[in-house]
Amino acid sequence: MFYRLSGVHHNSYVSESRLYRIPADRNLALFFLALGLVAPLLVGSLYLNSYLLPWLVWTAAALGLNLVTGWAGQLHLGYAAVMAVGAYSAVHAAKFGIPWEFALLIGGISASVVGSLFAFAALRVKGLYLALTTLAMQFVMDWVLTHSPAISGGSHASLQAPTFALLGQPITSDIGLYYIAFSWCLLVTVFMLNLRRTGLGRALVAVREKDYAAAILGVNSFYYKIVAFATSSFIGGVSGAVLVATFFFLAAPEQFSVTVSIQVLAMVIVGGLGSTIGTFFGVALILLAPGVVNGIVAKGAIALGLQLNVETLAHIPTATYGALIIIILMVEPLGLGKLYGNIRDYLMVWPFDQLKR
Amino acid sequence: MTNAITGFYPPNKGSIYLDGKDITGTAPHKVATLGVARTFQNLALFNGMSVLENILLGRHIHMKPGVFPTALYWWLARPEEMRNREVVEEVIEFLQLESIRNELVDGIPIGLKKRVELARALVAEPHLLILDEPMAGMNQEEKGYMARFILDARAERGISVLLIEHHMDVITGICDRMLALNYGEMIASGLPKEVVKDPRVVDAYIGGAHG
Repeated sequence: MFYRLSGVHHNSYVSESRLYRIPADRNLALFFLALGLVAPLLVGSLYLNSYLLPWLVWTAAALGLNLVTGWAGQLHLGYAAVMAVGAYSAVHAAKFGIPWEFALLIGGISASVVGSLFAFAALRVKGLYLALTTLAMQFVMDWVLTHSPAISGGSHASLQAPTFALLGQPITSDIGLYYIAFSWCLLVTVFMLNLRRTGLGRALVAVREKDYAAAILGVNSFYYKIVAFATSSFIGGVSGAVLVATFFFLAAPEQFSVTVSIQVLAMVIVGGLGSTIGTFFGVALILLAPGVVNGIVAKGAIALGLQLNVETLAHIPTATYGALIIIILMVEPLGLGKLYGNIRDYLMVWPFDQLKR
Repeated sequence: MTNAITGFYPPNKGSIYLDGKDITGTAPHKVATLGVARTFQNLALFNGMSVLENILLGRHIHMKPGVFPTALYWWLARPEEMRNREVVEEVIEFLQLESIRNELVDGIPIGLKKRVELARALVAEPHLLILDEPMAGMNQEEKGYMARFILDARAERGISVLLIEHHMDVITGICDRMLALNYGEMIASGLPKEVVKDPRVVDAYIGGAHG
């Protein structure tokens, strides 16, 4: 039978503080979790490893940036640099013979150390000045990578990543690599969801909204900004390492250039600052939309019998993609996450209006 | 004066003692841990969070939030969150905020916002509560409620309250001692009903009526 909940009622604080307070939300999340688990059976290895896998890893990375930009409200333009630190240290550690599970950890920790050391200096300024300072970090890292052969293997060279292995078992199959990416993304997602209901999350929002009011409640805003930078750098570092280990298979400086930093920031902003589900959408749009639009334009041109020259074919998708971002941000400045929330809220009460949240 | 006590601006001269301890020049977030809570004249609630989350932030100094409790919520953070939630619920009940606890603070009326801010200050269990114009922008009924809450908070919780107000009815109604300042200079102090009659106070605050 079709029926609607007549309001949401909780009998204990524990039940009220669940990640998903409404059964429908929880079921939807579980459904997508299951879908992610059985994805290797549903789609071919091409889709699995060239679309799903990068989407999951980039989502994990973007969630890390969302922590610092969305939650703590600090604009960060050097995120790719942090990912690079993680990727290069993990690859070097793995080449040195350290097992991959520790290599990933080393990648995360070294990224975290570099990120927070930098934040120590950068956090003396606020707002746009901070953005510029983080941009400087990006350029410094670019320069270090291209000018120190010991790290990058030379200016135009790339560093081959050793075969990924867990507990001594080499993982080379597409499905195995997919599950690695899936697990990492799941861990980061759960962390970000937990943020909504812990003191850390509240303190970060307090620092973002009004730092003087945060101080009066005993929240040391400098400390929490550093915590945000360190945690986000850890997530970024491990994500960079996972990306290299499961997707690129080699590390090269241009994989972590300033363009990438801006792209990750775009994912976060289009997805919605502070929104976890939005980040998934944002990454999908920024990462996958260009390919999809490309395909549609190419197929459309053939179907309509249009003779488009190569240059036009190359430019139309880029323009469409740009327009798409602008349209989304005009329709809902708070990003795709908010857009999803609006649709969900509407469907949740349809056709009634008693249930809120 | 409020900003000097809470550490935002160090005083030009003189020093500040709290419970016999010199706290001159202590950073604001440390003053909070010493048992001082305050509200702001121009509301300082955190938009984008619910009333409940805002009040829970008042418990910050009694909690140990961090990255690991967040990652391992079920084992590390939940007991602490629930303990503090109980304290918060007590104050929510005391200030009659039950019906709006899950509303976003962005959308509630100003009278309630002031009350949420009082709740946030109270859950910190301060020794000294500084209320900076808690009645600003309120109508007579809301002022009455607020005065009652302040009196109850003092009576039930044993908090010293420093109230900054210019509503003479409120001051004479609920204050024990009154101190009048004119551009940072003390012009009178003592029992409220005496202070309000002081010619210098009348001159500075009420103005003009030199019969």
